[in-house]
Amino acid sequence: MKPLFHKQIGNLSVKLSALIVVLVFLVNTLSGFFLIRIAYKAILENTHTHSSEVLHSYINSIDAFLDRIESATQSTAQYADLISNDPNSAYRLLEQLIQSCDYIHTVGIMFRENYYPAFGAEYAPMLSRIPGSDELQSANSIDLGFHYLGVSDEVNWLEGVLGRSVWSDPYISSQTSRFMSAYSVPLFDSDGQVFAVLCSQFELNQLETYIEGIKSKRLSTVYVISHSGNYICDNDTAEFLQGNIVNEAEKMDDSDVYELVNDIMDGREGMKSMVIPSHYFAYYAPITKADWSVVYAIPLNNVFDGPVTMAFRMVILGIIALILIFVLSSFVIFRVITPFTLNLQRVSETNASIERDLSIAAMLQRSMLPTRTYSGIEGVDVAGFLRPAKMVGGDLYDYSIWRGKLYFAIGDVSGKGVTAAMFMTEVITLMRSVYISESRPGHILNKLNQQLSLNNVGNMFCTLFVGVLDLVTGNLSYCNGGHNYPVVCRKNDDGTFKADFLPSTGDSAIGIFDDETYSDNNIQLHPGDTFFLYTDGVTESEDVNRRLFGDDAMLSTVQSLSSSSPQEIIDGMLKAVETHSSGAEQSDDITMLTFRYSGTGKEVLTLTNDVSRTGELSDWVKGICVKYDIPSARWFNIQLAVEEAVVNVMNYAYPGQTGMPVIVTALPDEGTVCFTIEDEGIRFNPLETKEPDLDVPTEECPDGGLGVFLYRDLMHDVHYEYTGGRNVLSLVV
Amino acid sequence: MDVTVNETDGVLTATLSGRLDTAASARCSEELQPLFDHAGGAVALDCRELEFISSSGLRIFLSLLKEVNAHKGSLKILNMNEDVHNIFVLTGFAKRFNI
Repeated sequence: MKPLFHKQIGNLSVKLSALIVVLVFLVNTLSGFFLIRIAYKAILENTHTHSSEVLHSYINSIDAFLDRIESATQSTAQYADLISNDPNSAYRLLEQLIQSCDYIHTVGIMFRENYYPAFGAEYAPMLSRIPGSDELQSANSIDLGFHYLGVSDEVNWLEGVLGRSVWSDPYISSQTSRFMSAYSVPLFDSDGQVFAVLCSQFELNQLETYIEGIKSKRLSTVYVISHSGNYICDNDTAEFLQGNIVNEAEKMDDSDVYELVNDIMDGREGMKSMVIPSHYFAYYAPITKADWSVVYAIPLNNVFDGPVTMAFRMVILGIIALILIFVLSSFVIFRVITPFTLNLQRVSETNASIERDLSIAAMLQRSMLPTRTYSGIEGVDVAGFLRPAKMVGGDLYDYSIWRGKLYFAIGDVSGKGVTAAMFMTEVITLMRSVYISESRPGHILNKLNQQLSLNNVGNMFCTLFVGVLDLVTGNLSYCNGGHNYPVVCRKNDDGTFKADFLPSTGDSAIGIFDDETYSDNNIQLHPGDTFFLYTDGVTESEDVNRRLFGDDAMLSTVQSLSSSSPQEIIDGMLKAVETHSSGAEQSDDITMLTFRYSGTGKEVLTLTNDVSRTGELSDWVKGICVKYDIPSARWFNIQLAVEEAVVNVMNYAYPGQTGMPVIVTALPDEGTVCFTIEDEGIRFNPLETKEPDLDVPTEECPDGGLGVFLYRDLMHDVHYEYTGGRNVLSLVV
Repeated sequence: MDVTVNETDGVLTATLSGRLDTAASARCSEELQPLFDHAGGAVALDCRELEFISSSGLRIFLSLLKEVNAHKGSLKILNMNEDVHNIFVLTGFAKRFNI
């Protein structure tokens, strides 16, 4: 038993822990989801801001790079007059220019055709650095294959010729075979005519090296794109990227790429999230100085690399935490609930035992209520009903027929439950013991009250209505000890009925004051009259809105059911109460008792004190036995007992008189019959005579006394009373 | 209530039939007089048809028994039905009588 029990607790704690783990998992997942969304947005925003800053710092740096070349070149261009007049000054100025800026690789001046005829038709003096040496190399670039007016693809200096400074697209120098770009400045003579172009060239890898120096550590790429879409440089590859982004876009044939390239070519600033060739963010902005654009690209996985790794670690940690929570909570729950559960088990066992006891008590209590039905030969039809609100209750009713009288009672003990039930049992038991010696309700209540007031430690009390109906005469004597007013439903001569309350007798509930005295009251019932008793569980039954059923509804229900049988009245009343309180819980015991008096119960044989009529008596007794359905095996004894009692009266009640009345009546009594023998002769209680001694020798055996002995022995109960000048002897069969 | 008295082999037997109630006991007592007179000899009461007996009837039986005992005769009661026998048992008569 015990290991099994532990196993159950174990199962419970595992289940609870699993529940906790699931809940924690759900909460974590949900919050993690939102956290990731927020983090994603923040990272993106941060990346955009940061990248934009990086982009601009590149632009600024490149600007600065170009600016140095530009300003050096421009300052040399200020000496245009000198150059236009003195061809020999050209080399000196070029040397100054190349020395003034480290970035410049080659400088040159290309004169118009035949500008200095002494140097030939095409004159273009040039200075360039010799790699690995501080020496400069001078040359006429014409000798290097330079051609005027754009016939050579080496320098696109036409723009410069047209009067504007310009940065060229990248090109491969024929001199060094390196990728170069050139800044060309037009030189104007005193007439404002362009007579030459001053050109400063730098190697693109110089710019690359420069960018490399300022490159962030991220796995990002920086591209510089010329105004015609050619790559000027990037920071990633040692090799110069040959190609043109417009051509590349045409190859890729993707709308996003087109859009990006268009933006770049139009010199716009912006950001695009690209999926081709892989996920990356492209930030771009123009370099106004050179008509170029800078593109800063970051792969998306690079952006989220850190956060993804962190999220993965968090998931692993979360799983470990969940396992720990599961193990720990299983253990803790097991430890914590074990004592509770053991306690709970004890409590539920105790409860079960109380429940068992209560149901036995309820059964015992039910068994205390009368179950006998009277078929009508008794002169009355009775029905009762009791339904406790709890298992046991404090309501009671009782009825029984004793020597032709219906004793009935209905009561309600203060309080509910077990204490009320115990008090109820006491009341009903005492009451039944009092019936035997008392037929007046006031006296019955007096005795009950005295008994119950003694040692009434619980200060319980009981409202109790007790009535005794003489089934022969229809006289109802009663006393109402503080109980609800019963209803008397009278049958009128025209067959209609009229229900009314039976007023208070002014008596109070029993069990409170032991010196209280109770009254006797009488009303006359006529055949067809109905008496209805109830407890407040009927009239005070509540509906869902706590409205009471009420006296008026109860009275009119009795009135409407007055032609029905007592059982039907109870059923109808119960239905009315249940309809009223439908849905609401029964709050009080519901008890009802009702009977209808038919007055057909008595049988009378009037004799005189003449023993010769015992034959007639025997026949009459036999008729009664048949009527009451008494087994024929008992007839002999009944006839004998009644005859002995009657003969006794005939012989001794009226000494010396004849023709005196001896009245024999048969009355219903607790399912059997009671014979009463009445006479108006001398007062004599036959039960007080000494029983004959039947053990003496035959010679001493007395003649008399046998009759009394026989009927006392043969009858179930024999009772004598002297009332109204009459000896009344009752024999209960 | 009918009583018939016969003598067979020296035994005087009274056969009782019907109801020996109080009303019938006076006459019954008279009709059994031959048995009282023969109390010194052998007498018998045949109750085969006796349906009912009251205490007055029992007293007649008791008187007869006392008489027989006084005269050293013998009394035998025959063929009592169950109801009557029960009354004999109840009153202790069953022990006194030779049944």
